[in-house]
Amino acid sequence: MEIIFGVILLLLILLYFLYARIIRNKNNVFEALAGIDVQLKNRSNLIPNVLTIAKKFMNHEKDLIENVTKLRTKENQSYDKNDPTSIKDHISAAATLGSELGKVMISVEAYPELKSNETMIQAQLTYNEVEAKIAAARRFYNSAVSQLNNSIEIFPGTFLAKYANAQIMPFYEADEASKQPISAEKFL
Amino acid sequence: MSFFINIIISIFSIFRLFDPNLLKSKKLGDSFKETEIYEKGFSKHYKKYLSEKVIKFETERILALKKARNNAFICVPIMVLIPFVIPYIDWYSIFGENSFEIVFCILILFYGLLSYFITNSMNLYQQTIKTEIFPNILNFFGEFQYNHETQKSAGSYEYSGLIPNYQRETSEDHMYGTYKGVTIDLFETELEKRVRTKDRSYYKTVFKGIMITLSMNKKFKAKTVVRKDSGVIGNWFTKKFSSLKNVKLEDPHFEKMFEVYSDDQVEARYLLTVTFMERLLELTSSFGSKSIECCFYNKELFMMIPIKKNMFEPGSIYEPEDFIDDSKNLLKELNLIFNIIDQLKLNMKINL
Repeated sequence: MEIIFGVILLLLILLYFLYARIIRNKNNVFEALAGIDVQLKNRSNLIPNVLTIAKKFMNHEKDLIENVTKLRTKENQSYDKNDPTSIKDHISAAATLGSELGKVMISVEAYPELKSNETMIQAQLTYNEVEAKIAAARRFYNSAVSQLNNSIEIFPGTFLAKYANAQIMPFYEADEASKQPISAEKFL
Repeated sequence: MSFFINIIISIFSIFRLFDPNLLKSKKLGDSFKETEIYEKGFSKHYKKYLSEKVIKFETERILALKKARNNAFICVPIMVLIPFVIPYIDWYSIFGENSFEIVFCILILFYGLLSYFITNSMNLYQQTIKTEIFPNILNFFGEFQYNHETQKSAGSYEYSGLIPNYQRETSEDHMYGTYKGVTIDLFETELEKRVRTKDRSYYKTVFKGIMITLSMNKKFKAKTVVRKDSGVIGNWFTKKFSSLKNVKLEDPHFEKMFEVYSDDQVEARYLLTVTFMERLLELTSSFGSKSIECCFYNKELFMMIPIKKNMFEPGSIYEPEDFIDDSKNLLKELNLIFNIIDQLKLNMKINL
């Protein structure tokens, strides 16, 4: 009888540790997500400055500029951090905005006056810095998600995740456009 | 242990003093031949700043050897005679039970003292090379300064959490300057820890190598430490007692070699990009796979590189003085240091 109690107690302790691990991993994902949002906010704050200067020179890229403005508004919308679908949409909007903003930065090369504009040079430097920080935040997020998903998908994690209110979270992947091979001809 | 080894080495070097050709000044190399890429342009520098000092230093070298040889003529017979005299003295009546150990220690000290007396002039000459010639060699790299003695101490890097527990420190060869826009500040050091056993206590080397501080082109606020992997138990203890959080990185090879701790998970990854991790691994293999440890803090990268060899030392005093060997050695060793900047691309303002 005592042995059975002992085994049950041991099992309960083990389950508690696994449960605590899921909670810890879930909180890590939230922390990482907050880290991404801080960097995305920095990029978002930079966009109006870039677009104001770009509009003056880039007459042929009106569609691109308008698209960036729309995507910025979409990215800034609030989302439910407990809902994986909502997170996925938010990440996807951020990735698309990143891709479109990247196009704007590349297009700058075609406008020598804009390229040599002091404010633009500064904006480009800040943009590179912010993008590097977004990349770092994305790596932290993906690492946290990987840990959480592993702890949920491996038994008895699946069973415990319901009690910990944890779900499989989406990874922050590069958008489809940036996965495409780059054609050098476009920039020549 | 290293104390005894040094005594044995200096005793052996004393015998070279009796070479009949030793005091004859040989024909010196008149120019510096550039054989390595990093030596490019040094022959001009040699001609301008070093070649004119050759005759003066060669005379000083011969004088130092002459003095050492004269001292050797007095001391070596004593050193040879002692082992024959010792058995005829009743040491037991003088020192009692532990007479063997006491006599052994006295002998070692006495031989050490005699070796010091013989080699002192040679050591002083070698030091002159370091203080007067090394700065001239380092001028080749622009505003580079060298001091044989240093006020720098491992204690000022305690913030990194990388400095092992030590009781004795020997630091020398302080160099500082700028290379490709990156400021370098380095010194050579040996840290020793006192170990006590039942019967005795002795000093054990816990770190021997160079400590370098490099300026970084990236802006960062947090503290990120890259430590050597110390196994499952070692890593667990570090995690438990560290105020910093463990950072899990993507590169499995890097994770196998190092453990990263930081108080900012995002900033740690901002500094340790995938490419930077690869470069750090390459750098580790270029230093013979020794565990390089580093800390990013306060706009600087502090690195501890263990190196067994005593770096930044002049060439042999038994060879004619033309500073060519000294220059080649110093250039080679500094190239190794500059390689850190080149390999880690610390001079570039891109985020790779």
